[in-house]
Amino acid sequence: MRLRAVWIIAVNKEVSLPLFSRQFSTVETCCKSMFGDEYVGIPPDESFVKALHTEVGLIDAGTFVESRDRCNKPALYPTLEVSLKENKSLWPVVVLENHGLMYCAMPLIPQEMVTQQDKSDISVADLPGISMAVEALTGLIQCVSLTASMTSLTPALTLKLHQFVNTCMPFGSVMCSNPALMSQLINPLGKAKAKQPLWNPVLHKGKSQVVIHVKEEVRCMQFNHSEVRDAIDVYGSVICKSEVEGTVPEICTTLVQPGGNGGLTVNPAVSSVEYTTTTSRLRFRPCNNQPLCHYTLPHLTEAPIYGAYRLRLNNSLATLCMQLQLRAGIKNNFQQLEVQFPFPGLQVSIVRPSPSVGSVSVQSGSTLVWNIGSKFPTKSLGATLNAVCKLRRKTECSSEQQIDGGDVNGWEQYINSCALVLFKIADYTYSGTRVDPQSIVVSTAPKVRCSVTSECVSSQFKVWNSEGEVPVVADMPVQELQNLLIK
Amino acid sequence: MSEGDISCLHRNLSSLGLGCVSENTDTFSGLLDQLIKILLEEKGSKKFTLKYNVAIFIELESAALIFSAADVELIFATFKNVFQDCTKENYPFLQGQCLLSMTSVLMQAFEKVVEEEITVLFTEHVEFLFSLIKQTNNVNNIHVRSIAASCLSEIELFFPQILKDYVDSLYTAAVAETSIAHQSYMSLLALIINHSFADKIKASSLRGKYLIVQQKYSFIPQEVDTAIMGYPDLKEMLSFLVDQLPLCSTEGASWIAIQIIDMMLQRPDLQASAQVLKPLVLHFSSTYSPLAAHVVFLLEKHLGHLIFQEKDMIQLLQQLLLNSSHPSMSPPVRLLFLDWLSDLLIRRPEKINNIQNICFFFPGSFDGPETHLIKLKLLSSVLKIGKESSGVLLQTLASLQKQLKYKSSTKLKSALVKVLYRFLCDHCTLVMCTEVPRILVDITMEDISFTPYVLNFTQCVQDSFPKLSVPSCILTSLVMEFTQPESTATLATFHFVLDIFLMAIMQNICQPKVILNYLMKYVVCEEVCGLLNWTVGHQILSLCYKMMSNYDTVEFFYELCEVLKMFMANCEDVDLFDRAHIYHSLLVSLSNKKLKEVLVSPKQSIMASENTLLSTSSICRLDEPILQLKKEKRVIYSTEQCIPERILDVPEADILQLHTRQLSFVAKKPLIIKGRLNTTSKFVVKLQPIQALAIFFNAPESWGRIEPIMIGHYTKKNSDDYSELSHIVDIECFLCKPYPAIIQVCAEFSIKNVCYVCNLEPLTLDLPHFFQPLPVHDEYISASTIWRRALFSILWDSLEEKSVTAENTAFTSVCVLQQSREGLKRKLSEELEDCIVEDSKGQLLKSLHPFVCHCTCNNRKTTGQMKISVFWVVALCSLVYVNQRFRGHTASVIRAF
Repeated sequence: MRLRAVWIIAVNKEVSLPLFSRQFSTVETCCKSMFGDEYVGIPPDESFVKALHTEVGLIDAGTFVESRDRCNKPALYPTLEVSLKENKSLWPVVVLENHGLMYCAMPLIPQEMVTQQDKSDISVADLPGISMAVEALTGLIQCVSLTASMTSLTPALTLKLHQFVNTCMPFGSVMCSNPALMSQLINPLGKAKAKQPLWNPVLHKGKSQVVIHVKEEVRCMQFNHSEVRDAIDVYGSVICKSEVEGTVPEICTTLVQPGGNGGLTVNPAVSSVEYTTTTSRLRFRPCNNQPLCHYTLPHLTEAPIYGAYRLRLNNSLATLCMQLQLRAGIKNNFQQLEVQFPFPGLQVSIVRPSPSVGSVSVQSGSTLVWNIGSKFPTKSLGATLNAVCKLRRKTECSSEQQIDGGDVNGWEQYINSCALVLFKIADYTYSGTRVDPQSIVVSTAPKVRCSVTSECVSSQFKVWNSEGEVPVVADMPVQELQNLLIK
Repeated sequence: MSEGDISCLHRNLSSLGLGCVSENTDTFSGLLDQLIKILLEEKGSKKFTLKYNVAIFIELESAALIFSAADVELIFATFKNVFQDCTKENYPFLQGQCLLSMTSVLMQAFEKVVEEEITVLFTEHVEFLFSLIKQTNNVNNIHVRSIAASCLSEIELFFPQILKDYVDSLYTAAVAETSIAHQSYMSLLALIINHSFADKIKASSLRGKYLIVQQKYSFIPQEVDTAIMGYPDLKEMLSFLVDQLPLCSTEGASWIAIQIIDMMLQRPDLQASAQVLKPLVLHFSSTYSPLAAHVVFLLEKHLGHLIFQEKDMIQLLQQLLLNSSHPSMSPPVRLLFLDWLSDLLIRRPEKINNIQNICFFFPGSFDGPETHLIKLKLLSSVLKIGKESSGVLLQTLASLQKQLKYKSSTKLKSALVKVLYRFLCDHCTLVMCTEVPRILVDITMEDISFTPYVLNFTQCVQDSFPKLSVPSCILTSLVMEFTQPESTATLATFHFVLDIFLMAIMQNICQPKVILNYLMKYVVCEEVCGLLNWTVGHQILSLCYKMMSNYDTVEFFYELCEVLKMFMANCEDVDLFDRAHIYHSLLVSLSNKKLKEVLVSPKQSIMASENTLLSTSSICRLDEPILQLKKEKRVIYSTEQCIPERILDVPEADILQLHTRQLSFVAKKPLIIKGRLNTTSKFVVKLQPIQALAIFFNAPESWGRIEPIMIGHYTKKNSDDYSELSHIVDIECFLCKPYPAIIQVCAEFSIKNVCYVCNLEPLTLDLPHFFQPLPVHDEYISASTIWRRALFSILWDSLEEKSVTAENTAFTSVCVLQQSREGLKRKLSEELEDCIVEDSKGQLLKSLHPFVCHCTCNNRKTTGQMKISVFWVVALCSLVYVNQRFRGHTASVIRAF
């Protein structure tokens, strides 16, 4: 259960070196000894980045690559088998993507698993090293905030990452993945009567304080299609930041979900959950920097905003009409409210925009953006955009894309498109999920300063063109499967 | 070290802000000295970060920095020094790093130096770490003690069972410790106990590898007896470990729990205490953390019958279902839970009845290709084989097919063929065998770029299930579709169609006549043929070749003749024309039997390399060279030596005139440098015999040219016999301006009828390589020494004269070479023996064509009194290593010259 190496790599095939890479030389020596002749060493950074870019489809995106696309290649997600030169490969490489960067780790796993020729029978369920790699990478993501535009790191950021690795995962053994605790682990509390937990290395002096934030997200696919049902997911996370007294403090809070609770999955710091029909009472130890729990509410099937999108193409002239309707009862006060109409690979110029509210502009050459403002008109709770656009193909479209994109001579393909609705509402959750500040109790502190905030944001809120085809199928053979399983 | 490793080392230096260190050093030992110097510099907060960075760098690159036991001792002594200094100033960060770096260096040292040499150091280090651990509840070094325990864990992982006698004292320390260091203590304790249960040390472990560690340490018992006897308070220790888990981080708790599970699997008698792990099941049963959830999963898998009740089982199932479809989770985490769920349902199929919402099994609107693939794979593995199951599975593909129709993406295509392959493997029913080809053909007809995926699918099915008719169904249908007049193929995509035809022909599953008629009508006709590119043209001809070699040509003689004739008439490329012409001639002039003999037998046939033309790249490029060409040491090969020396009177007046005349003749002759051709470590015996080897040199035009080297046959009997393959070759240089140059070298050769190309290491030619002895006039060949001496003194006088004239065509300068007299003399004798005209006491007389040199030596250092052209200065510098600046300066003068 040790890591052989970790990398941070840009999701950009032009960047040929990792932003950060760290190999554990002692683990590598053990690995070499364990594997003998079948040992595959970790290649130099450039070669690894290139091989990984190929494996994830950044390089040779439109072509068939046998080592990656062959039909008998075992699917062992979330691990990848990265093909190297001379018919060798590295497995398992765990990859997490975050903000345009790939965080990768390679755990050391038993030899017989790695060298097994036919990996189709392998299950990653037998390899806890992979779960450990996922935890380590989650910690690495939180350790420093990096963005996709970065091509290299400053020595200060590199040093911070090395410090995190050496403190929390010495020799590749992950002992703690919460970077928020790093500095406290180095200068922890001195002598105490009772054993000091690792998750609370320093005693808090001062007033106890608990800050809870509920972030709810709505993702949606609206088709306006008689045969295909719309899809919607309402889900969220509760984040709790606490500074409380005591050696082994315990916090209690109640999550209220008026529509009924369900789909609650919690941080390992939560010791117990008591459910009623609409509430969940959580008892937990401080777990700063990590979500306290995630919830999902499958019973919510109506979207907060209903959209209807029609796009017609007359060769390169696009006529589009977008109608949005806010559901009654939804807080009509947005921090962000806009609709994006992406036309990938095309240049867009607006001929005649006529929005009922807000303004229309073109971003990055290929996306039409309708900024509605901070609210829908109070009376109608609806907004409409009619626009005519001129589309032009980008000249630098490569032959690779042309083949992959099918017949590029016709404009018909662009009819199958969607609009993205982006919104953000502060101090509000669509599902009504909230945390009652009065319910917050800290076992070791009689008085606690509490603060509760919330927000509701859109995530993949797509409205498909009702004039085009939709990428989903009407029905799945639910009944037939049910019958088969009962048999 | 490879180039990649060196560049990585330099990148690590600069990323840690130590770029300045590498600028001042060329060698690894020099680098280590610099780093040690930084570590030993005076104390102070400013130096803290620098020292910390250096310590990290040494940990990262320990393998590259150690060459001897002395290096290890030096690093250890330095870190100990830094460690003790930090104690006074309280820098736990740096102290911890010192321990990590020391341990890392020590472990690496076992790989790099003789193990006996580090025995004492290893023992001392282990005892030092233990002495730290024993300082329980010392508030000043909590972090350092945590790291010390981690270091010991690493040593135990390196050499299993090495620390097992320390269990009791470690247990006492772990119980007593109240600071956060207890987690590291507990982890170490759990690891040592677990290792002590192993029956014997694995031969592949490092402990098994190093005898010294296995036998000679006083603190290691010779007999493995603890496993049999057991620790008297083992159960107490386990209870202690489990009780303390809530105080550990999730990762620490999971790590210890997994060690305990492992212990229970190795020692079934401990399973009676399995109930102590039940609180873990309850605590982690609703978590989203992959590691914590994995502990629950492993408990169910290995000890489920002891601690899992039905409700726990249902809870685990529900949690796996929830986590594997929870929108808040990132896709990799969802896929991880999905894999475990699949494992659980395959092991316990009856649990499927507990799944209330079976819609879970179907891919959703938001699922990507990977999730589609894994969900459908799961469904395929849980359904029993049958007609109805096949029907349901095929219906579930609709979503993937629809997405593919909507957006052509590599990932979707790859996922679809992988799913279909899995379906066919798991449910090889009649329905499946009929429907899978239909689906694949339909998609290929809509999107021809799907062809390589279908062909790969066909090949894989053919290999795994040779009796199945699926591959032939697919290929027959595809050939039929693409030979229709309304075929969707265009010029840009026609190579896909040819791939299909070729595979169908190779597998003997279609009538060549159909393909030939199609080619005749739509491809090799006048309007289209000229538009075909070179690769497609060769693909068509490869197809014709395969038809000729695989089928009886009588059946389609007329059609094939027509295709080849039309091809010859309409193609514009000479290469294609020639190939088509050869095929046509063979076809019309040979009987079917003779044709097969010519085409099929690879040993006799010049067409044997046809196979290579099946792929679009007919030449294979090797990224790593398998051959190397090195310069041989300068050899005196003059024929003059065979002629006995005579004393002849050389008329001094004519010497210069004769010499000038001869120079023009000599200049036309090539300069021959001897080279040794050998194989590299990438060469394997099966890569031979190498035939038709041609080595090409790419020299700058202004410099001159080197003739290619041609070798007919190059072979080696076994991999150990290196002398077998070592060939001496003549590198013939025709020089225009003989300045130092790096010549690019590439080799082309053929192995088993496959043509290979690879770049060899560049050939570096420095000035000394161009020097030749002063030419001797033919008439005086038997008195070469006398001739050269005379010519030298005349040339020298002539130069001196020129140096004092107004034009100053020869330069005069004095420089001191940092080389002892003996050293210079030896160097010159070694490198330019054949050029020496006279070597008298205290004076070296050198004569070199076309330059001359006169070196005067004093007793200690060589003072070169050189009235010579600048070329020679560079040559001399390259021999005796004067400082870089001087060399650089001179080199720039040369370029200007």
